[in-house]
Amino acid sequence: MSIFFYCLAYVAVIAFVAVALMRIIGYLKKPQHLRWELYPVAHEDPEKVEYGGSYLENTEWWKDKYRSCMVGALKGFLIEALFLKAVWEHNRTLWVRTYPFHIGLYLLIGAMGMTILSALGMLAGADGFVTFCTVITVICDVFGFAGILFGSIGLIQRRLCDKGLRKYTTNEHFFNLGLFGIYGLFGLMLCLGHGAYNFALMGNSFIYGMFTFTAMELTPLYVLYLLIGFFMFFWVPYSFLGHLFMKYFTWHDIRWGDAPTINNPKLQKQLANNLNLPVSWRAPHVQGDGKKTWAEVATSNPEKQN
Amino acid sequence: MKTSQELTFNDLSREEGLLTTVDVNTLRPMPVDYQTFPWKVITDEQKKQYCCLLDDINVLLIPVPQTKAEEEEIVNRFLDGVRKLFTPENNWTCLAMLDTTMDYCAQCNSCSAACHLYEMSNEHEMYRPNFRSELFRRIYKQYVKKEPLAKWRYGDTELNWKTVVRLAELSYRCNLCRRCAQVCPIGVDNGLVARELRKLFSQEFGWNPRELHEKGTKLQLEVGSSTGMNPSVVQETVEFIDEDYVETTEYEFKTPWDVPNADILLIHNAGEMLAWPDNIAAFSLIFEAAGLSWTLSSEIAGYDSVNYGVFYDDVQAARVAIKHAEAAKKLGVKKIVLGECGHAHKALTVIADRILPPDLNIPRESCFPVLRDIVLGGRLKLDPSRNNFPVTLHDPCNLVRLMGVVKPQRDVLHAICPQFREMTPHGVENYCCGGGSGFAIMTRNNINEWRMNITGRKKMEQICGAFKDCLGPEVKKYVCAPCSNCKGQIRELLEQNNLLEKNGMQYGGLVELIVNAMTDVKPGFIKWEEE
Repeated sequence: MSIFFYCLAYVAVIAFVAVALMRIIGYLKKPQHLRWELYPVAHEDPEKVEYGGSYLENTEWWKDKYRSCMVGALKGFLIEALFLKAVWEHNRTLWVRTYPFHIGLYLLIGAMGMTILSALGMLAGADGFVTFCTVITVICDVFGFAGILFGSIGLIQRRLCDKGLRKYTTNEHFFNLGLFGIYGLFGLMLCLGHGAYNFALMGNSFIYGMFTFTAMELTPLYVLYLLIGFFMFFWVPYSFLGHLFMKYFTWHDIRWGDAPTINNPKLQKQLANNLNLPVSWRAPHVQGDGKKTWAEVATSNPEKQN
Repeated sequence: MKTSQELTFNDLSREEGLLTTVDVNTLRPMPVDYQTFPWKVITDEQKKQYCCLLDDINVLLIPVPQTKAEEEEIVNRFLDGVRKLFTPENNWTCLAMLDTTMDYCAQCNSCSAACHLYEMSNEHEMYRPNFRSELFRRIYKQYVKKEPLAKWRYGDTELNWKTVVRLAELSYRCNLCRRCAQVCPIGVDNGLVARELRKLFSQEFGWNPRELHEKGTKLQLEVGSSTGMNPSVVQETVEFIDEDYVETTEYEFKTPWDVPNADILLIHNAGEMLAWPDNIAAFSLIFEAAGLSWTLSSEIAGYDSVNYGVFYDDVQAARVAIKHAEAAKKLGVKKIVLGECGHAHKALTVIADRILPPDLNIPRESCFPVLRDIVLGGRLKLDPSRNNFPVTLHDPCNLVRLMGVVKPQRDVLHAICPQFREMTPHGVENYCCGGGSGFAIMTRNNINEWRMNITGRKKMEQICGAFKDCLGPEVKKYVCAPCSNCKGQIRELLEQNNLLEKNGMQYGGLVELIVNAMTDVKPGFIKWEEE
């Protein structure tokens, strides 16, 4: 039975990587889109970021080299990701519920990372390192489980009680929040039942087993806990929860995507390809037949010819 | 008819007649004497001819289907259009944005509070930025993408011809200001969805507002301008403006036309030439006084920066942008400078940047950095005391939130207007004037009433807030709206409520203030109501 769960664990990891990659590659394979930026753009000159300005405020901006301040972008993104700044500023009642949820999730991701490090430490026989990682895992586990449990309950309560939000709340929302809530609850129960340190050690052993292909005995509650965890590995990237990693693209590539085409041969090439794509919109002023390209459609007027 | 509280997604397919309404008698009162404009009754004749199914406003004038087959054709064609929206071939322009907006919205509704339409309609459900997006999202996932368990996951959404027609009309209950997108924690863009829907209905069905298409982009491409002015008429008009304002200002200047190899091709919104000739004259006067090498173009569309395509149709947007670039290329100018028109700025500087091929990608620049350099560089003799009256600045969304041109116009105002004060909020957090995305040029079918009652209400509240220490007719005050569409909307807000007279409020652009402060020019360039 334990071996079966180990197999499931491998499948879950593979599913997460595969679905996440599928999503990311699917996005990256899309043609270069139009500029659709919104200001402030975090990688702009820090002085301009303060008030939302852009390089377009400079006279003859095309004569300057296009700059994208990596530190600014990173700062902007980290503040948003770590503190949920936009929710704090624009939806405070939601923030008090969703922030513990998100922080809980980050802590559990951190706990998973530390557990993997612990298992590697076990492989290397570095006992001191394993103990260090395990202590951090304990802290991340306890606060992480509490965060997602508290956050899930709070978010479910708000979705049920807020009339405006209720209309937009689907079965999937309740399913997702319920799933995370139960996961947090089981995690906390396991911490209480086995002791948080022993629970972290169980995690170390489980991952160690995955590395060494040796199975350990599992309790029924631990099995349930793992099953939910495995399912989430697949479900998070598949569902709208995939914003966990796709937010990088919606912010960096779209919202902050202000790179000009002038002086950018790579971009010019991508756009030239787009102009050769066939159009099949049917309105009288387009009359795309699936053969005419964008370049042809944009430089002709079918209504005038008729 | 459904109330805001009762309204659900499936009502769009089920309800007979008008779906809903906003009770204008319950709208938030204003700090000044501001009227409410009752909705005009939709006549039986209108109902017989056009689908009047959403609310009291009718932007699209969609013919009523006469047979079951026609009703089915609407649904089938819509689904075809949705499929096209999600193919790289047909929608390379916006597919990445649309796809992420469809897939990753968490339905937190943070966007609602950011929307001036939602706020000023007493939070009517129809105006929630996510209402149309979520309906479209559910239709897409259930009928086109056919996601596993879609009905269970998102709810079973019904789809018939009424849903399609109402969704089309609903795509025109938004100013496309994208304030909702700015506050989204995930990067979802409900403004984009409204525009994508407009695009689908225009490019697949040919359903679009006649002011934007027939009288807008089509006319511009055929005649040269959405005003209907052909090249010879436009030159005569500007010549007349020159003569008129040389006399008024007692300053000699002449607007140059078709100067080969000039540094700058200035493109105005041609609507200014008819509605606000003082703006055209002010630009000519400033550029001449500053000694710039510049010209206007008499090529088709080369004298009208308007590009209504950005509001509803990618194909038309591309066609107009190409005409603008061709006019510049023909003259051999070093750069194009855009006059005071927000959407023209965005269309040609930002949107066209990834449409124009390299040989047509002539550098484009906003007029505001140019004006800032002229004013702060001391190239004009200016006396700020001539502008010693309260001035506030409206930030056009296209220029500010969507382009990041925020400071140059403020630098000018700080230099020449001693009583300049900001609105709250301002800059990239500004509110739309209420005429955004083409509504400023529409008045029929209760659109004017809608602009006065709902879309422009927040801006009016902001203007009153900026002048709260000097409301009343005794102090002259100036709303600087450096965008043709915004100016048109603000004109209506002030004129229809008689606030020019009752509150001493005047409106205009930035260049008018600059000329008003020029010591070489006869005082009193800005005219007040009593003059």
